[in-house]
Amino acid sequence: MAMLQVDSINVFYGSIHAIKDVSFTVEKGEIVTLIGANGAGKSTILKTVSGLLRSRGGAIQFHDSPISAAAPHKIVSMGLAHVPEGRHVFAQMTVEENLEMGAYTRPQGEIAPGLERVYAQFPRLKERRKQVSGTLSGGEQQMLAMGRALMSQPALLMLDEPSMGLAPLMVEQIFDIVKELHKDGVTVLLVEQNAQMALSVADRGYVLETGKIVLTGNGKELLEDDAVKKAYLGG
Amino acid sequence: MRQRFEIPMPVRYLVNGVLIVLLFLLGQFMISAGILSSYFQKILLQVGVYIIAAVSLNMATGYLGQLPLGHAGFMAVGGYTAGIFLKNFPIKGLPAFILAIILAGIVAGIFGILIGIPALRLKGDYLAIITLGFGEIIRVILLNIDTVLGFKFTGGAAGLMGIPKYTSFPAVYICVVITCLFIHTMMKSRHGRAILAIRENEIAAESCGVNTTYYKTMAFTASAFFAGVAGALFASYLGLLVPGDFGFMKSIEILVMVVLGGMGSMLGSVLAAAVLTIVPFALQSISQTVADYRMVIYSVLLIVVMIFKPSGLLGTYDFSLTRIIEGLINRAGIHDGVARKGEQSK
Repeated sequence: MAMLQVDSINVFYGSIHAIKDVSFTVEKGEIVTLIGANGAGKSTILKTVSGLLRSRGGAIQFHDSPISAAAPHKIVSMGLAHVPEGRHVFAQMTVEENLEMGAYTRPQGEIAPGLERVYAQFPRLKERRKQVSGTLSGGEQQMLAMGRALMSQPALLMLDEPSMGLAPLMVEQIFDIVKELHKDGVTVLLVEQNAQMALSVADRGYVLETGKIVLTGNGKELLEDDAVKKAYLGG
Repeated sequence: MRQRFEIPMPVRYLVNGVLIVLLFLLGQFMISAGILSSYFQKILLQVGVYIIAAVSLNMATGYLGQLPLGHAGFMAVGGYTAGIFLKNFPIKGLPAFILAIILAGIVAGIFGILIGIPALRLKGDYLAIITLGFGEIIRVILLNIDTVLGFKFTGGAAGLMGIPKYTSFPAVYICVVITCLFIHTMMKSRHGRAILAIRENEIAAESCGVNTTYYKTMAFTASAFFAGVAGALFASYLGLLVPGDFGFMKSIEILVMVVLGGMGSMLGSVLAAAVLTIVPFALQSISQTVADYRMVIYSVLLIVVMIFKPSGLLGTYDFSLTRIIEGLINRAGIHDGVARKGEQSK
């Protein structure tokens, strides 16, 4: 059984049918990406998985237990971490306090080793430990948001547009980190507009169009698929 | 590396405990020695009541980051609860007063939960409007349920009269200390972190696994509880409650204290509550007309503060006596001597 199994979920914003019968799976140890244009419903799917939005019908199973009705904080403590779009950091807290908040669902004793692990992964954050996070650069804030999510020791990490608004060099760094995390055994569900980048690191991908999955395949296949090339990769 | 000197935890408690007792003794002494006339004593009691009200509102406004405008409503609930209880409870004296204060807090807290659950689903101006509405509803209800089934209830527009007057300096002082201590320790705890995280960024807090609904309701309820305590002290201080005392302007007055002092600063709330309670009396002694215009003065003051220091006079700064002592010791370099001695003995 897959680590995360999403079965024909339907999500509405008022009367707008945003997600139509979407099903997908994420296996343990994979990087899976959802790509698609603006408004295709990528973020909506992540929010539904993490319990911020509710699906009408359908089922979401994580580690074989249904989570489609669970509260968001319960889902986090089950080992599913969501890094929301747009680098949401606690602006007036320091970097370290932000990371400590990430371990909110974990016992006290795990904070110190958790910090060590995150600092090893993100040396930049270690340099800025005592800095107020609102004054970090965009890329650093994205790293902080990812590091904070890792503090909850997730089995599955969901990243929503980690490359958004970052300089190309920074985007590369962020994706290098995703690859490293993957090597360390973290399963990743990645939502991206930057299809090229996302598909190049992903094992599998799903292409979304106006709330529906229109195409699926492994990363390489999708990169070379004509329709994907045309729609997302610029010819 | 040169280490910073830090006062160990038990000593911190001791230092603060001693300070609290000393302040109390000073107040008691000034009252018993007749340095404070009964007029000033009355002002002092009011200062205490408003400190509790402001510090509790600061919890919802400064720490949780919401803008409720119905704080006077919770004070009214607490005040009337305590008033009716004190008038009808067979036992009189201190036990009844303590019970009344606790009961007032609990009833106000229950109202806090009832209002909080629907209201906290909203944010910003919407929350302000719904709590404003609540405050007015409470006032109007109190005005209209003077007798229920033959039982004399709130006394309606004439007011609830003949409440036994138990509110004294020690009672107010102890309540102020308990309120500040409770809110301070709560904000330093894991729960406090969660509440601050919600203020900083609700989405991020949620994605960290903070149960945001629970903590918002909890902070709101604690805020209402202590507003109820303030109301109880107020009731037993005046001996007479009129619904008009708890109108919209009262909520605004308390909010002005919090905003002026600095949202998220307990010391700011305490100081602003003290100053803004004393100012009207001081103005009155100058001339009644000036006193009548105090709301105008408030608004000008508020505008000035908002322009020059939008975070309030003290921002989010919080007072810590032990931190000041540590700073002094570190600066004086006394600690270096101590440390060197320590090394030698090794």
